[in-house]
Amino acid sequence: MIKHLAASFWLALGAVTLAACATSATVSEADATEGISRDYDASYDVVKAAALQSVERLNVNLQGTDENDERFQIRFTKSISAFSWGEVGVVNVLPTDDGATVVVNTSKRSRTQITGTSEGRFAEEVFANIDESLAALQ
Amino acid sequence: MRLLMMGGAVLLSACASLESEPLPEIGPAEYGFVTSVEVTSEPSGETRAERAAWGILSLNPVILATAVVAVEDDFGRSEVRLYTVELTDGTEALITSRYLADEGDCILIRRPVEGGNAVVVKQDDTTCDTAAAAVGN
Repeated sequence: MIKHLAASFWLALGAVTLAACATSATVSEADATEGISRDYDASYDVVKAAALQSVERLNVNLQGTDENDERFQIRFTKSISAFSWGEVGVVNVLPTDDGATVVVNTSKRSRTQITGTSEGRFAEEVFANIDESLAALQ
Repeated sequence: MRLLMMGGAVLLSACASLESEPLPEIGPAEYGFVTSVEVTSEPSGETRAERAAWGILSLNPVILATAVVAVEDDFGRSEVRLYTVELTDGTEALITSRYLADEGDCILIRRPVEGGNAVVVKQDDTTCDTAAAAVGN
């Protein structure tokens, strides 16, 4: 009886823990406008290249890119560390009438975690890198 | 033993804060048409073993399992495209990039001086035609 209770407890705990975890799909399948955004007056194709170079310069693991009619998307993860179970994120580039909008959407793998890199910190670094890339490319 | 594993885990993932490498120096603008695209994948720098090492420290089998299992299917892999480009000066270039272009697209290439992925920007076909005419091709 006690063994069954213990097994049930561990199974329930496992289910709750798994449900509290974010994966790349959490952010890649979210609305492309979800996150912290900034508008750029450079062309969509140039901003895509700058956004890509921006993420490639970060100490994150770039998983890949894909594109549809709505946006160009860069998927990345940040590794586990002493302070965090890791983070997942996307940078979406959306074409606009005046150029492009870049949206940074990230999530901590463990949503109950207080430490780790915040979405605001990711966005700050990505936007700063894009500014540098655009200055070099234009 | 636990101390040893902790040391190993720390060594495996020492960098915690978000940082950027300096902007790489890139070469001059080159234009050309994409003649072939090959999608490849390479290790992305994070492994399940690394996550397991941290999970073991918790001494909790549920946390250990979660650290390893609760990740995406393509975890640990990174997609890169290998492009063959016929440059407007008549030569051929092999470059890697995560920018998305298709066969037949006219693209601008800026190759990093010290190697690595090239900066690619899709262009109108007329841009390549003009660049080719400028060098007599």
